This record gives sequence, structure tokens and C-alpha cells, in this order.
Amino acid sequence: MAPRSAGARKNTSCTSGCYMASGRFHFHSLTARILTESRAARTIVANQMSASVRRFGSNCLSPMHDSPTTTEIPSPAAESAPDPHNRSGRARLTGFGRSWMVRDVLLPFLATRLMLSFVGWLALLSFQNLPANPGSWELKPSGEIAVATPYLSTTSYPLLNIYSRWDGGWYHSIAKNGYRFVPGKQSNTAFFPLYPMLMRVVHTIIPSDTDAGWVLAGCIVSNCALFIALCYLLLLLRIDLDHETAARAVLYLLVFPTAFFFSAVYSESVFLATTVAAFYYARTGKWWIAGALAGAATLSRSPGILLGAPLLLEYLLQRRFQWREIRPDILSLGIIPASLAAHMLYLRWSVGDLMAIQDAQAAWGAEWGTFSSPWTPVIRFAREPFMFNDVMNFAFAGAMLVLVILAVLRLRPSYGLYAITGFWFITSWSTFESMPRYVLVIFPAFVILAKWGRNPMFDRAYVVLASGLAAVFMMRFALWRWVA
Amino acid sequence: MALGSVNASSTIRRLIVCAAFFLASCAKERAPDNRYTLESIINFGAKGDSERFRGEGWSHTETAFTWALGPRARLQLKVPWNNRPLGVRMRLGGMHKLPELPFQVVDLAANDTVVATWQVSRTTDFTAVIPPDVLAKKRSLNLELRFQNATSPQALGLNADTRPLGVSCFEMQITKAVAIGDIWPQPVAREVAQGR
Repeated sequence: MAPRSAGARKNTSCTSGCYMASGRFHFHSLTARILTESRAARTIVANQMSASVRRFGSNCLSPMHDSPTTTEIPSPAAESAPDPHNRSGRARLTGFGRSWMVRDVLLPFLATRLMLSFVGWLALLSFQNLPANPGSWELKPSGEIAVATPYLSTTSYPLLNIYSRWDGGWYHSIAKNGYRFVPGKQSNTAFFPLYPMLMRVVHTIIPSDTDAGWVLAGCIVSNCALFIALCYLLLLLRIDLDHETAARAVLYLLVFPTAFFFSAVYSESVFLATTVAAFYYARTGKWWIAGALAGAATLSRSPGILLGAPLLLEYLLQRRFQWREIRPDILSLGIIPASLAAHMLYLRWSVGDLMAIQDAQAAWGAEWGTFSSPWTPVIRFAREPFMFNDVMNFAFAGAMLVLVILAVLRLRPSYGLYAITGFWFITSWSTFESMPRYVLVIFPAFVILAKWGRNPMFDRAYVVLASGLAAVFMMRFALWRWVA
Repeated sequence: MALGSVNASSTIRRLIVCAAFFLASCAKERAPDNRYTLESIINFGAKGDSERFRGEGWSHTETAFTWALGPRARLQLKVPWNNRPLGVRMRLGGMHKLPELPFQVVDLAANDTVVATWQVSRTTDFTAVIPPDVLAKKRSLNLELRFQNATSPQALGLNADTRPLGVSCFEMQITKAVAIGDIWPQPVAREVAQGR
């Protein structure tokens, strides 16, 4: 054990040194880092097992965790370890009291949601004479959906209306009426079922049969999911980072310019919650829970299917790529494709088309598939007349590209793989149209930002700039203007 | 050798002159710039620049609006690539006189597909949604206002104007929109089909 640890120590030192000195990315350094990360992950799992052993006695001690684990080398990503006194992994995760949930999650959550709601309501009041967007709808005083004409209402369910624009209608229609597919036309089969299913569940406890009840159910689901996502994000980041950086990542996510989508009738918050929770349980070795949550993520948004690759990498990291250490719990990752297959079969049964997702997406002009796709919008941007949104889309895509590259180089390989596959996925649809919204769920990008946020200047600049943009975007969204 | 140089330089000079003429003629014959930025408002009054979008069927620009003449008036726009439906909002006033002609019936066609039918009398906003399949990944959008009963003020006994007037167009705006009928088949879609 000792010689191996010593070797690992040497290897780590060399890797970090070479990496820092040259400032370049080397394949051998990545390989070494993956191996080191796998040991660090194993340390956490083993520490948790040790804690369990201490708690429940030694009967459940597995031979795999028989050896002491305190000689393991900490991960290079474990900057400023949260607990220098070698506490168990579980203690590291939950031993910092419950006050963090109020101070670092609940308060920022409530503050940002209240501010966004106020800004949206203010926009409705301030632009009363702005003609309503063609085709726009809103909740009328009766609680039913109707065409907004000639102006948006300022008094009829304003706090629900400002969060139920654009694609919110599709989720609302699925929750209320189920799937409906018209070949060649934009249909609600392009949207995934978990979020509308949760809307249905919540709607059963809302004493209102009107559309307002459905929108309220959507807002409740979105905000609850966002709160859960933030809690798990903080817990996940606490594994590798100090508490301040983890809390900063939560704050940066909440003030991100398009973060109001987390509270709208959109599925982003459910996807983020399931994804981050899946990573958290993967990091803590609870693979069946992780697989189930990744399957849930697959049922909430299409990029969920990509979770299989980073979670598999995480699994192999924790097993140090030793095939002999692979256990039946690897089968939990099979829940991800199984979820998608189940949903497709359901669509075959309900609307008669196994490929209804893809066919409906095609009506949006979303063409999946070629490596040239990311260049298509770039070329189009250079050639054609553009508008404000195009500039924003490209700005977000460019910024996210930088953050994704840094995530690959500087964060845990599984996070990096999630970031790069997620970014590749959202840029492979021949359009960057909803880029500012799609990037919301690439959480490793916010980890990079949070690390930069240790610089007070950057911290202030980000919060001011992002909050300002968030206010502008919230106003546009509330007024039925396109954002993402 | 010197003679050859002279010939070469004069040939180059001629080529430059020809190229300049060619470029000048291209610039002269170039079509008007009809690129449209989504969400911008086209003003059909004297302060606007609607001329670059207008095709046949329009009268001269007046202070606040332009008359669209019967039986049809065309607009040609080059719009950004877009995979969402487009919403059109037009502020129109119809040529009408009670009781003979209470309103103008106007069909709005986008790329030869009728997307809305409006009854226009007093000046107000009218909206329509152009489904994405009408655009079919094209960037050119040809809008056509079709009038079933364009009439001259002279025929209605209002004044001596003999132009067959349909509607006076004040402004127009195109935005991204929602094909509301796809989401809410009934009864909201029916309200949209009726226009405003």
C-alpha cells in the first residue's frame, strides 16, 4: 500500500507541476489526473463506509474497504479541503449544520425570485401601451387562457402570467391534455414528460380546475425543483471545494441572466435538480439512486441521455478503471436509455409514432446530427441580417465555450465530460437560438465562475452585470418578447 | 521591352477602368436593401423607410401612412433565419363609409399562403401568425394584402380621388411568435383566426 501511495504522490506532484508550469494540456497529465481523481473518489466512498461501520458496527465491513484509506492522496481538485481534521466523508457533507441551507440557498433563492418577480410585474405596468405580441396568450380574470388583446393585462394573475410565456404553453398543454402530434407541424411531443407529470401531481392538491391552477402548479414544481437543485449543487461542490466557493456557485447560478427560466413553466429546473442530484449520489457511491435520477433527467430534457457518459466515467474513476472492481450496480446506468425507450414506446402507444420526438423537433428546423452543425449558425450569423438575439446567442455560446474548455481542463473529468457533451449537444441543432437558456444546466461552468469569484473585483463585476442582464431579460420575457 | 511595358500598363489601366464601370453599374442596379431586423417597426409615414420593402400596389407616401391599392399590395422582406413562427402586426385603417361599405375585407398572404383575414374599418392593430412551414427555411418573406372590395373615394361620393383604396397602412412589425393554434387548438385558436 505504501509504495503505491508514494508513487501516486509523486505522480500527482509531477502532473500538477507540469500542468502549472507549462500552462498546456497534456494527455499523460490527464491520464494521471484521472487515476488520481479515481483514488480521491474512492477515498470519499471508503470514508463514508468507515463512517457507516463506526455507526452500525463492523459486521457490514466489506473486504474492499478493509484497508485503511487515510493514506490516499487528495484530489488536485480538492482545493482548500473543507475539513482539515480528516473527518469522514459524510461528516464533510452534512456536518456543517443546517444553517447553510437557509443562509446560502434559501435566502439567495428567495431574494432573486422576489426581485425577478418584481421586475417582471414592473415591466407589465411600465409598458402597458406596448401592443401584445401576435399569438400571445395570458390568463384572464376567469383563470382561463385567452388571446392577449390588444395589450397585456396588468391586473389578471400578473405573477403567474409573467412566468408562463412561450414554451410554457407546450408544457401546460401536455399536463392538461396529454400529448398531441400533428406530422409536419410543431407539436408538444417535442417536449419531455417528467415536468408535465410533476405538474399533474401538484395540480391534484391545487383547488382550482382553471388554467391558472395549472400554471400555478408549474411554477410550484419549477421553484421547488430549483431549491432542491441548489441544495444538491452546494452539497456536490462541497465534496471538492471550500464552502464559500460552493455557495458562490449557487449565487452565480441564481443571478445568471436567464435564471428566471428556473422559475418559469419550463423544465430547466427539474433537469438541473435531477442532474446535479445524480452526480451527487454518483460521487457518494449510491449508484442505483444516481441511475434513477439520471433516468429522471432523461425524461425531463433531451440532453439527459448524455448523462450516461459522464456517470460511466465517474463510475470507472471510482473503480480506478479496474474491471474486477465493477459491480452489478453499474447496471443502474442502464436506467438512462431505458427511460428514453419507455417514453418512446409510450409515444408510439399514445400518438402512434415511435419517433414523434424527432419528427416534432424537425418542425422547429432542428436538425440533429452532423459535426458541421455548430458551424451552420456561425456561417449564417456572418452572412445574414441579424438581430439583438443573435448577438446575445453568440455571446453566450462564446462565453460558454471558454468555460467548458476550462471545466474540462480544471475540474473533475466527469464534470468536464458532462460540460463538453452538453455543450456539443446544444450546439448541434443548426441554430443557437435558445443558447442563453440551454447553457443554464451546464453547472460545471458555474464552478469555474465561482473559482474566479475569489477575486473580489470579478465577484462584484459578475453579480452586477449578470443581475442587470437578468432584469432586462426578465422584462422582455414578461412582455412576451423573445429571450431564449 | 519598353514598348511592351507601356502596352502592359495601358492594358492594366483599361482593365481597371472597365472594372470600375462594372462595379458602378452593379451598384446602380443593385436591388434596394430589404433586410429586416425582427422586432423593428416599419413606419409607412413620411418619416419611415417603408419604400425599401414595398412592391407593387402602393400609393405615394403620405404624412403618417401609405395607402395600399386594390386588388393587392405587396411587401418583400428578407428576414433572419428562424425556426419559430413569425408574428405580424400591422396598424391599418380601412377605406369605408357607412352604410355602403362598413369595412374592408383583407386577406394577408405570406409566401402565397393566406394566414389571416381581417375586417378593417377604423385604425387599429391587426395581427397574424405565420407558421414556420410557410417560411420553409426561406429568408425571403413576401407579404400580400388582398382586397375584395377596394373602392375609390369618388365612387363612394367622398371626394374626387379615383384611386381604388384598400387600407391605409401606418406601421408594421414582425416578431417571433407562437403558433397558438398548435398549442391550444380550441377555443383560443378560433379567436386568433378571427384577428383583432
